[in-house]
Amino acid sequence: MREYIRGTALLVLGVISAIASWLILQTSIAYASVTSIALAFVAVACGYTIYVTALRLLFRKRITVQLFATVAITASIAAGYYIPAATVVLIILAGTTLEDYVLYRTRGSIEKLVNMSPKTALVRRDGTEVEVAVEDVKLGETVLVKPGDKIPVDGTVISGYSAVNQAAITGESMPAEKAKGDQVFAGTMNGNGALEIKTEKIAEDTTIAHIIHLVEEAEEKRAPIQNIADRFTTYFLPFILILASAVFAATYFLVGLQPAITRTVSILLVACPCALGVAVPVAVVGAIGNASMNGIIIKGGTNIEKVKDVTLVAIDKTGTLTIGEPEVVEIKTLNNHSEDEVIKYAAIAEKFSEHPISKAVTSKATELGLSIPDPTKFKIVPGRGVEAYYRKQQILIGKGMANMAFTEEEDKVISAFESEGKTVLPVILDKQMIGIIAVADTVRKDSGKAVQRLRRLGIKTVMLTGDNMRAAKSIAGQIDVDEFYAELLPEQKVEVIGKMKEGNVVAMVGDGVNDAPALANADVGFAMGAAGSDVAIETADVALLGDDLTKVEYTIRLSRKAFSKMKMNIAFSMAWNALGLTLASIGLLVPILAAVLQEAGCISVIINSALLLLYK
Amino acid sequence: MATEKLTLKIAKAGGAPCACGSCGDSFQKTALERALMRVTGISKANFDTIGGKVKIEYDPEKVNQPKITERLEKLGYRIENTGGVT
Repeated sequence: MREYIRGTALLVLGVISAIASWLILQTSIAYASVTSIALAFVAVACGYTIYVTALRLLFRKRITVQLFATVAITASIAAGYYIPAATVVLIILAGTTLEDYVLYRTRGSIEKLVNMSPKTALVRRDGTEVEVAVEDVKLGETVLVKPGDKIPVDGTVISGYSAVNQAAITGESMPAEKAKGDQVFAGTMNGNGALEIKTEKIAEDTTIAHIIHLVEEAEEKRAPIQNIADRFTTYFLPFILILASAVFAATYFLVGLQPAITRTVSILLVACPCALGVAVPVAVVGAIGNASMNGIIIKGGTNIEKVKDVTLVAIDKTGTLTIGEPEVVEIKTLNNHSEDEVIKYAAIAEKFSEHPISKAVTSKATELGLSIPDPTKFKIVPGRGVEAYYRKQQILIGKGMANMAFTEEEDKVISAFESEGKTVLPVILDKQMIGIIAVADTVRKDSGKAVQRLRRLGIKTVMLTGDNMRAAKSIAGQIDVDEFYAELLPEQKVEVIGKMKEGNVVAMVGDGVNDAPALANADVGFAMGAAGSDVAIETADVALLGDDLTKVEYTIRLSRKAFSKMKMNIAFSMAWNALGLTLASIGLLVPILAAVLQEAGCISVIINSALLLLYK
Repeated sequence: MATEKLTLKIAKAGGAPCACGSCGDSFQKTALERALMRVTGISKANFDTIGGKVKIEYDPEKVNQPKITERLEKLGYRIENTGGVT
């Protein structure tokens, strides 16, 4: 049974019997002894976990707060203070029950991820559809996913078309369109189309299972600031023992036995390093839980502390700031030809080429609804372009292929495109230029916003790319980064990061595979779009499962918030304890208030940390 | 479905959590039990924080002892003795 459920049940019984006893006492003093026994029974029954824990730990030579409480309650009963004893027990029980509940809920963020994965899958076996447990699906089997169902395995779409909501993994609520050949993940929600999926990973090997395990592990990793809290708690209990004995002795000789007992009991009840013990871990769990619901995995408390200090974010260009696939961005028509004609002839020539630029041209033709006939002859000239024939007409694509002088107008268009960092494809039909296509990698729509938000936090942004200076300059201008470095080899990226680390705390954002060395050399490595790559998820300090660059800024803000909560919690619990102990020592705190004060301190710290789950 | 039972004595690497056995420990307990029960094949997990013992019931066809100890280690626990299958 969950601790908090048992706690609530006990609490209800305890409160009812305590009130009943008190009412009986009001009717006639004759029942005083009965009432006392009833109240003592409440104190013993409701507090039994405290005593059992205290004794078990005492046998293991651990002196704990439970032992203090046990001594305090026993002393109260022995001295005949039945009402205070029962009340104190009920207060402690109420406090710990509430704490258990909040802590349980704090751990629950991951439950949302877990519940995403369906337990069964519809599999095609021997021509019929059978429903089997997900663990029993075999690799390579075809899984059918009906509209509105959750996808049960990781795999590749083999037929069908649908928009899939991948928020469970990437934190992005916009559905992603999935067609033949696209990768889908277990735990994501299918939209309106039916899909057939070839199973590639099941149960424990799926991306979502990895994510869950990593989040669990991350939540257990200690934040360095915890050491401060630990050092304090180590000296806390011996100090309390000395203080309690000193106060008892002093009060006994100066005032009398009764106040001496009261003060000592109060000291024992108010003292609790508990708030301090949970101050940091609960904040770590809160922050990591919040991040995981947003498609971000922060690998442990250490990284929260590192991320909060970041002063410079270096971002890889291709695939991170940009989509990473070239697209046709502009078409200039010449000699009275139409855009459709230019694209059509270019697409015919490029139809059988696998080059990314050729793909950009053919997909533009498909987008315009043009049918592309096969070329009769076709030849790729590496590094220069393509030569093809269609209905006895010669088509040449590429600047290097044009064996002719350009007119002044053509030259102007070409150099204008090139100065914007675009790749230029002149289309020449039977020795006449019919148009010029400009191809470029396009900037992701959130890149500019992401850079702007980082700037608002006072963080410098630097773009790194292996691309040429012109393309780099054009992209850097569009998204307004503070600095950029172009024409970098992968090892030079590592060097640049090393130089930037002088005087800065550097975060590097990349795809986590090609940029792995640069990510590793930075103070914090962010892998973006990591959902498809286990390597990227494993090696990064922070893995962004989706493609949203603004999550970098969110991670930094969240970490700053989490760290400030940790500091606040530590400072608060130290001050709260100091206040409680002072009041108890000078006799201003009765035992009941001491118990209230102690529980209030603990709960405040826990709730303050748990609120991180709601941070936006 | 046959289940096997396993008791392991474990300790959290990096020292004792907090001196008061209540909240810090129940926080650990919840985390460990939930994490273990999420491993395919483990049907029950009970962590006695005071004794430092975790009792696990599992289906030996789906998961084995090395896999369980690996998971525990990744979660930051050190296995002190392997109790044995009962």
